[in-house]
Amino acid sequence: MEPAAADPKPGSQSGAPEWIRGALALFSSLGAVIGALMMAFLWGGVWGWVGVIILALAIVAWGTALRLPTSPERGRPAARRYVLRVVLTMGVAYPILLLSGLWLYKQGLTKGPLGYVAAVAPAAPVVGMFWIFRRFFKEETDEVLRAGLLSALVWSGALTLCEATVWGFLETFGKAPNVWMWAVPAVFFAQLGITIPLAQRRYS
Amino acid sequence: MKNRLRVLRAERGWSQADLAERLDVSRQSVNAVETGKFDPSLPLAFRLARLFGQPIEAIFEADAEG
Repeated sequence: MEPAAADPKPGSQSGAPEWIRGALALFSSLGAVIGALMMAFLWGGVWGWVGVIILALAIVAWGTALRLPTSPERGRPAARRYVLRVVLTMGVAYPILLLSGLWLYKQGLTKGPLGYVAAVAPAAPVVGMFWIFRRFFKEETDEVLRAGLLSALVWSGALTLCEATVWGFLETFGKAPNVWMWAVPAVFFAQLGITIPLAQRRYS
Repeated sequence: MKNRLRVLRAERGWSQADLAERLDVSRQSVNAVETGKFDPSLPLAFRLARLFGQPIEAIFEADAEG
């Protein structure tokens, strides 16, 4: 019997070393948290804007890290649409809406009803991410890709809820500073940057 | 779950990418099923059975229960 045709390890066709994916995932995770915290606590100064830049870079790194593990499957239409939607939503729409809202606030233009629009607008891309996940599960027929993302979502969701609960009680007992609620999904997505490659590894 | 996918592929001279294309799944999926890291759904198992012209139980073997 002839041996089966040679099969390189899945993921090895991208040409991107494994450590690059790991470094991107780590940077996106830490960058999102650090950037968000800098924005929350140092807003009004230069360091607040540095936080914005770090957060934006973290989102870009997250999008890139998402692409690398599934590079052999990039040709699959659903996966391609998923990556495009994520990059447009979190890499483009989120920073633009966030920075625009903060600029309006700084200009003192958010006192009236416009304030509600400016405040809710940056949340729209975050809410949109869950629509993107839903579309992926509807459009992608590949079971392993679906199982990988599902597993990563569950792990990241569970970790985020645990962390938010612990932090919330620490805050209640005066042992931790207040953290705005919008930081919770930021942490969720940052952790997703780690759990997606880990889930992919499970099936590689 | 053990399976004979690698052998069946070899008999036909197909690579994992060839099989993935015939099944319209990713090569990662073929690799995961073949190495026993992922148990396919019933619909995918039926598609494999049809493709190789064999019953499911001739391709997959359930793990012995402890």
